[in-house]
Amino acid sequence: MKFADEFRDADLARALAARIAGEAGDKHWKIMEVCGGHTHTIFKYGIEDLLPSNVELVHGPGCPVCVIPMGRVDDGIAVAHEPGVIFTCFGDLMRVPGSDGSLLDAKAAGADVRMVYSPLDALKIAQQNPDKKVVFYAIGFETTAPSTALTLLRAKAEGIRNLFVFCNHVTIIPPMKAILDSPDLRLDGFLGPGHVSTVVGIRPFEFVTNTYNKPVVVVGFEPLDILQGVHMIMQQIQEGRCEVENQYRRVVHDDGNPKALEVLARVFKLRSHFEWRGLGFISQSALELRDEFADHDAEKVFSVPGVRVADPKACQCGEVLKGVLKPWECKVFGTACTPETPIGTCMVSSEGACAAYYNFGRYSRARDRERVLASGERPAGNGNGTANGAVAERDLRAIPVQTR
Amino acid sequence: MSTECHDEVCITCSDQLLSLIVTGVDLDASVARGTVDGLATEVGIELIDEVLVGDVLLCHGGVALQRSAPLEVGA
Ligand code: SF4
Repeated sequence: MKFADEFRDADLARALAARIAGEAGDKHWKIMEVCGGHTHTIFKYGIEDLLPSNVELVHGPGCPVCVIPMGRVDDGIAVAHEPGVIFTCFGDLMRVPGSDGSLLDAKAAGADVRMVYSPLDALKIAQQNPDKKVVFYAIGFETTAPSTALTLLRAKAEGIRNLFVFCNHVTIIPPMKAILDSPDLRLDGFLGPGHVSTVVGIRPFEFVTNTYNKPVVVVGFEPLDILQGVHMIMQQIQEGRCEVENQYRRVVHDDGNPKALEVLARVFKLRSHFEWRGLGFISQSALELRDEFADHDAEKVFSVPGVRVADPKACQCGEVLKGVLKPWECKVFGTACTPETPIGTCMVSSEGACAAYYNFGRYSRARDRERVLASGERPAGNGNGTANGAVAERDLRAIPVQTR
Repeated sequence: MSTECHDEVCITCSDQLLSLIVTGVDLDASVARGTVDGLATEVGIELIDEVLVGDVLLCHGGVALQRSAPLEVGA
């Protein structure tokens, strides 16, 4: 197949889903899509509804906005309020709630907060405003980090000294390892992150096959990519193989982009530890600027509070990010927590599992809810007897089926 | 959803790559100009070798990360 439309062919998708159903047998399959982009595709195209009920997709931690802990949002807001600062960030981040409002609220309160599409836009703002300190709040995985790195290299080359980066870039492997080490979750395999792999290649995922004996298939972002990836994982297991396979060859090279990796290595080093929402502190899971870029490091130039803030009590994003809980099993899903009034990060970005369920998943949710209420069984994805996964029937009844 | 977002996904902070069809290259500035879904834009090309007019570049955060054959991945 060559064109994107072919990867959206409904007849082919139905045929592939039927094949998956035929080969799934009685086993309950649990496959995690690591990347939030995949989560979005799964809901946008109703892939869960195509799959048989015993092939379960578990939504992982690969939404860049969702994993930002509240304390880091507060840190950004504190910097945004400093005098003479123009604070720039990507759009979704502006709505992420901190402990006392969001960056949008900070903007409403008078802080100069601006949305940018690229850190290079922040560099332009810095050039145009030499008397201001322009701060870019950097988030994202290895897909996004190269643009931050290139921006800093350009700033250095052009002698632009009023650009600062508040670095929250994270890396994909450590949270996968944390999930694999978690006793909460039994997974059969992973759909690997297609676009992160554009940068890092497919080899970094070999630890999953070698150490944890779980297959990984790096997949693209069209519905047939996802279905083919699911089928490839099932085939590996049925044939007794355990490999990292690359379904997304039309974009991902096995070695990634060596130039991008080189640029990342020049600008960033691994942090000793970093807090992930819901996953806690994970060692060597995030990037910070190398000492050569200390003059551009917002954490060194500004006084950043650096206070760890606990998530709101009602928020169960952690369990959702680990795939232990389905979004609609959170007690505030669709009631107190909606995309318009998010309590947790998973409801902010459209790549977040809660936002995806809310925006696209109402039928699945209604189906699951009806099934659970009718049978009294535990809902799919929540059946491992974990402390946090225990949603009582009365809670299910309390959740109105979304009609939006 | 913000009107600035592409296909209901925030293109900036998400893990998306967008296809840009190159209509011009400025090697001194290390940028390629082109269109994404018909909208004119420019991206940094430091990470891609020998970008030519007509290339399809897969971009994220204003930077090209990979080259694709023309008309693939929905360009
Ligand atoms: S519904 Fe809201 S609070 Fe609950 S897990 Fe999702 S984002 Fe977090």
